[in-house]
Amino acid sequence: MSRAVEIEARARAMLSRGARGAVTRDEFERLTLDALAWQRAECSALDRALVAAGAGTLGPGLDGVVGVPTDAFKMARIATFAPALEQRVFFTSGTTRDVRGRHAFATMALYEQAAISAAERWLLPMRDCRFVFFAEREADNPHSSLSAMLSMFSRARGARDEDVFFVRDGALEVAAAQRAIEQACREGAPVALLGATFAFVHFADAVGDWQCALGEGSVVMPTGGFKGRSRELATDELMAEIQDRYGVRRSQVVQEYGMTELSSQAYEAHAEGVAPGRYRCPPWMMVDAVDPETLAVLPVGEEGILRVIDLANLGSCVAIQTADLGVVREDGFEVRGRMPGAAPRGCARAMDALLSGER
Amino acid sequence: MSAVAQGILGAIERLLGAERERAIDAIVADGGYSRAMAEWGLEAAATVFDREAIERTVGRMGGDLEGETVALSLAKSVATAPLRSMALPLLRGARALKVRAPREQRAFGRIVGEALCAEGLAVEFDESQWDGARWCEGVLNTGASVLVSFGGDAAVERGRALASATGARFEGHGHGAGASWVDVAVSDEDVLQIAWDFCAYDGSGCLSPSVLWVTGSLDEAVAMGARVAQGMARWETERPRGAPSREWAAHERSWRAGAAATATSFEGGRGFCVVVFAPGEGEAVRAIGARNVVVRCAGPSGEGAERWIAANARWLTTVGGDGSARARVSALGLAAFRGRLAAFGSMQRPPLDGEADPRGER
Repeated sequence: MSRAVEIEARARAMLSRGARGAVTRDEFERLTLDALAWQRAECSALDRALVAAGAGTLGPGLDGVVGVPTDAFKMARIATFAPALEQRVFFTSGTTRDVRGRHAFATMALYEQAAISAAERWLLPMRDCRFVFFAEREADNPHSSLSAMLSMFSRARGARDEDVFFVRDGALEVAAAQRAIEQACREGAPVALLGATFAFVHFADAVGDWQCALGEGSVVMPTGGFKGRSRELATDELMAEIQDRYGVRRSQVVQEYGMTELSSQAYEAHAEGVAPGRYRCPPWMMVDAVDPETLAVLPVGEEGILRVIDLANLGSCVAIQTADLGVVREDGFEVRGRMPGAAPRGCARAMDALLSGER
Repeated sequence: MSAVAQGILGAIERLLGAERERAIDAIVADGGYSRAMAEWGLEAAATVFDREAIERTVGRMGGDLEGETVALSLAKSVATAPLRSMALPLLRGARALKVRAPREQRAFGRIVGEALCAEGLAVEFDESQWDGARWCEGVLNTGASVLVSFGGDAAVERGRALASATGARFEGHGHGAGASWVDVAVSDEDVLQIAWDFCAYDGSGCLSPSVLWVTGSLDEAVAMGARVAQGMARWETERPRGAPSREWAAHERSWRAGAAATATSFEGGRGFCVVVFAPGEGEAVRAIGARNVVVRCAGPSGEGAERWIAANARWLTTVGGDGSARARVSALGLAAFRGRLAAFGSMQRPPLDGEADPRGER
């Protein structure tokens, strides 16, 4: 059995226990270190990035793991397989001027297993619900990880993408979405209203005072930032807007923590008594706050930048260093926004904006 | 020598004498520079003001601001730039100078203002208004006849519009960057000076090079990168970089990881790194300064450098190079290029009798 096959088999076995499965720290650590060593051997760009980021300067074990910064996905191909084997590529959002991160996959199997399993625990525990997605269909936007994940949900529940995705040609089909929601409300069917945060704002702006009362068991998930595509609301305002407009309790609004560079998602875990704004990971995923300067793992309760270990991320890197500020608690972790902009001193600070790349 | 010129020389004498320690402390406090770098910065900024250079400058610029009240809006972060920015309008004949303090780095500018005032020069260093547009509007409506504005292009454009509305003369200096270009046959001393260009002001000035182009093969570019890294290491010992903020440390680590992932070679030290890219490599990597050196292979005939300089000519404040590189830039005949051609090691030491940023008003 090749190293790749062996590691993937161990990851699959871990994920197959489901998001409620038990994984010991020892088992998690062994797979993390083995997977990371294999990924570094397979991907020289990853190895160089990790060395430059400080790999090997911390201690042994999980606390000594250095994640590859998300910036690396913007600058280099971080993948453990040849380009010819790419099945899917997700891009980070951004304007045409921005350099976008690129995350390639040779297979979506682990991603799908991770996404569905975590969602069934925290987002879609109900068996029957009507999907209303404020997002583009996967076929229309194959490079969006959100569209891919939502399509996985619809396939898993036997829904047709044509019926549940309400963004077409880049525009939210407000009237159609409104009709779908109203019909579900009339029939008392629970609704899973999921989508891009900015699309929720577009919908609100388009329908004005319109309100509804989603049926018991409904869930709403706005995800991702505003990305400059809508007016921006503070989290509290967004939550209040959603609760008022759709007639749901805060416990029915589930926030997700995920990113293009990952294969797994963490969720708010209202049903498990976890405070709003606090996320829980599936057992194959771990989030720690690390010191921005030293990368040392910080104690519970101390704010740092979040390092994510995601054992479903076998095609790129299982350890990702984000620029998100956050705090780990006993029962989950909190996200406190992005690390403040770090501009260099001096008048060359606009260099990036001025020069048209380096070539 | 005029009374103004004598006053400026007197102020320089104060800054290099009685006020030296205070000035160095201010530069450190303002910009997070190391003490050794602040000492160099003060010397570099002050010693261009010798008697001959002042006379040449007065002769060249010919009192073109004679009798004017000049409003000077400084950029957000400035290191030692206030000295030159404040002294030149006076040498050009300004009757009075009103200065808007930089939003972030104002301690050194304040000391410069005090030194000029102590010599009887009419300088007002205003720390009461951080809103640049509002300040400009205020001074233009109360008698300033010339507005000189440093900062981002948007701020400069706002200043231009305000000056235009009141009929005031306007000089704007927006952001820019430099570049360096070297042939592989360069001497070790020149390599050390190239490294210095990246270290001066911790690579954060608008005259600082953002990239070093190397004419030669990729192997030669990698070898050059290693030589520059040796130079960077030496400067790191002699004139270390200032301690980075927590935010910058995280950002820089992330950038270095991404750059290392895509570069042909990467050499890193505590306060610097050098990444070398082959032609076509690392196109998504943008320079971030702060002694993180981007080296790019320009090919055996240097065509990569020529193309890049032509594409970015408008923004280039300075191109550092040996005689042949400078001649090649000149030979390109780029109408958009109005930057300065500088010898290695002097990219950030423009002579007093020549503009720091000859792009001038844009």
